[in-house]
Amino acid sequence: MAKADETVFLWLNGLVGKLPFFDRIVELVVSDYLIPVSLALALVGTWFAGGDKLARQRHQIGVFVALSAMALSSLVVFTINAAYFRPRPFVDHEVTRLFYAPTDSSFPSNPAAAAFAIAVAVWAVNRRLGSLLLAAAALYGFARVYAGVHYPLDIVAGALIAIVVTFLTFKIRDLLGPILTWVIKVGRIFCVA
Amino acid sequence: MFTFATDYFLLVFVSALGVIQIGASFGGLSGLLFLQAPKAARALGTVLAVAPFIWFFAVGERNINDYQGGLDAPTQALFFFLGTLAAGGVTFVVSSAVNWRMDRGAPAPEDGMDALRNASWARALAASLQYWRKNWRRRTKQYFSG
Repeated sequence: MAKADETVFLWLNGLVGKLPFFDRIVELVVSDYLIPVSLALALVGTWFAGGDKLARQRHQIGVFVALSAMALSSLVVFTINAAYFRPRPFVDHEVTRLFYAPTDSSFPSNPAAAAFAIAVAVWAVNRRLGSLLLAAAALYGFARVYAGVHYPLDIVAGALIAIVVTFLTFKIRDLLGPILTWVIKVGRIFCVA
Repeated sequence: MFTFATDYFLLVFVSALGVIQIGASFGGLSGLLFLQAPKAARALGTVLAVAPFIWFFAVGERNINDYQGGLDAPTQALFFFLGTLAAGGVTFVVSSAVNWRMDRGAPAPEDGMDALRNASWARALAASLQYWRKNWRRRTKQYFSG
């Protein structure tokens, strides 16, 4: 499995330099500030979406779930990172990097987990916007492999953690329901929810 | 000269202004809009949301590690929160001023954000706070009892 992972990585990263324009696009996509900020801004937009009061409340609960799932996914990733350290691809291989050299563990990918947590939570309440965000998260994951800072399996594992954690967060939402409802009720006093 | 953090704050602040305009337009929250025509509001929102990204990536190198001048995750989260909060504040002031005369019936005090379909944010907030000032004892009891 690890061998296949490395083979796919080396093939993808081997394409760097062949299409300079594509490389420039990947440099933008892989940035910490394009897709992560866009996904977070999408949550801001989701807060206001919904044709009526009930739909808006559903969207706003989706935002709460996204934030909780993002935090919980990061916690899971950090726990795994603490138990198992996988060196970054550029440590063990001859790699052309399009991104700075992170020093933390490669597996699982925390940026991928955070991006997928937001995308999956939004997808659960708004299929159209959610699909767009899922595509953005997948593109972000691809870019991190192409740019030489992650193996494909790191991204897949990060995405799977996010999907499971977001699903579980929606499941325990019923436990958090009274708190969420109360927060939304207080927000209504100030016309922000 | 702006620092990386200031650039990031400006990126989030202006983009969030745009995203709020787009979201409010799709949610039918006229009281939040700077321009009342939905297409114009969405166009303005799109420009406000996209232009800061073009500026942000055009003015400097952005793939920088946090110990070399970039922002670490907690600082990014903090500045994102501040930028969004500032965008909310500016939206409150501008949309309330622009829509001050909007009067599609008195906003119901317990409508929350839904009141912004028919009234400016300032008017809806005033109506809500006035209602709460008069009924806080009864309503607080109801809120805390679920």
